Amino acid sequence: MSAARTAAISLRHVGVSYWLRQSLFSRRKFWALRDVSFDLFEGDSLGVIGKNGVGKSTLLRLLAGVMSPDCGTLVNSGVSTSLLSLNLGFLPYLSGRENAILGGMFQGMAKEEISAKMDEIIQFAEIEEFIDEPVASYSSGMKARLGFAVAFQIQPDVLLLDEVIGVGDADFQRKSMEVMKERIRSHDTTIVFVSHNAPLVRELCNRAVWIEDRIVQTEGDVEVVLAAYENFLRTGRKCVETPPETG
Amino acid sequence: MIRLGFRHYKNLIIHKAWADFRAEAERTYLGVVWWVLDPLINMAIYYLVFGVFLKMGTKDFIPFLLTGLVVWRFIEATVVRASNSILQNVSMVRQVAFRKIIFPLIAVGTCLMEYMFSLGLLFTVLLIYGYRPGVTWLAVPLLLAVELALVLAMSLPLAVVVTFVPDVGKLISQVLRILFYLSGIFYTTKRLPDVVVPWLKLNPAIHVVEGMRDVLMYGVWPNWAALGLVGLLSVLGAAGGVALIGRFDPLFAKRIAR
Repeated sequence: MSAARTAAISLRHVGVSYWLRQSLFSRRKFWALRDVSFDLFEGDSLGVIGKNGVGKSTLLRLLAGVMSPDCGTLVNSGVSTSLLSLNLGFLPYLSGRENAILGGMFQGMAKEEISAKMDEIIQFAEIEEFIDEPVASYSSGMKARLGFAVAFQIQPDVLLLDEVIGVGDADFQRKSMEVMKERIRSHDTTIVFVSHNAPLVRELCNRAVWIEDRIVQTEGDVEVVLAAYENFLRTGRKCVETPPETG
Repeated sequence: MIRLGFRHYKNLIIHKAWADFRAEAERTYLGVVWWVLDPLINMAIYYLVFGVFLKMGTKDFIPFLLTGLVVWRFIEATVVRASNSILQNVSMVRQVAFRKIIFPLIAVGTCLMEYMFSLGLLFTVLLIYGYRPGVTWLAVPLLLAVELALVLAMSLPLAVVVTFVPDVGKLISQVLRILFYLSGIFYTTKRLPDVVVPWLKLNPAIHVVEGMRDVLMYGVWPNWAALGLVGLLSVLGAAGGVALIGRFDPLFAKRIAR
């Protein structure tokens, strides 16, 4: 069934390396990702799971087009991708309104587009009376709320989410989580969601990729991948179990 | 990857340059007044040292100095700011896939806006000293264009180098200081020994400084041949800088902060 669909983005044996400087004249090549292969289909919500430091953020940067692979191939069929980034280019001495426009423009939105959505942004961020005050006077919660409200206005074909959902106070966390889930479930947008939280990935995603040691261990149906991941966390063995019978 | 058109980049650069300009004004109580005070204080110091103590002053030394300082300040401020611009925005570079050339261009834009203030001050002082706009003032936009090209030719390649070798950033201000002394800001080359003058003229900045004085103070046309050469080489250098930034574009995000 899935073979009939063409992949929006397809990765084959992709690796990304950085140079780490050790001293003035010596440097070491470090592979942040070594062997990553999977397909991202339109309408997917793909969870990328793995412990911290296994290259998940690098993978998102790769998909965002910020970096290009050092080996292997990444084929984008022509979809736009964006990493949800908070407070992009914010200037503390300017007002929330001006920063919202600036942040939106850095994410590729036209000034008019952001202006048109300004009321929505202000309302969502709950900063009605402060929007024309300098951001420097905001609490960290207010700043995070404004950042999220602005970032969430972007509508790329593929939305890339790092675990940024935990912004602001508990109330706002719940609220931002709610809209995020709504967007993921709507299937209008293709989502790549990076997390080490297995229950969250299970709740939000239909497919998953498990990365360990900078290599894709398994990819496919979310239940299968998460079962393998959770088994690995328990036992330390990287074997893939057959999915439980359903029905 | 998001595909952004030329129009979006243009709007973004202008908007962000204006925002940075405003942010800088908001940072202090006096705000924009500093763009007038800064060159005035600078000029007062040089007037005292070179005009009063060392008696190197020329006729109308204050407008003479101010012209040089204002022209030079744009070069210095822009090169320093633009060279560091990609490095300074490395966190943003890692988040969004857009052309990195916007960062040095934003820096240039912000400095241009500040330059307009200092030029306003310069024209005011010239008028106070009895200089009246003449036909040679028409050359000012052309001189500014040559200066802008020169600044781009210096900043764009440096923005790439500084991103990968931040140590160069430390050197830049030292080199600029040497250039300052070699640019005829507080002295006229007419009083220098003949052997050094041709060497000094190898410094492109001196032609802009002297050209600006020629048209604003002395009512003569600038040295077109020298300015044309500076302009041409600068445009070539700036184009090389654009190509260099384009070539390194995918590598900037990988630069790991130490």
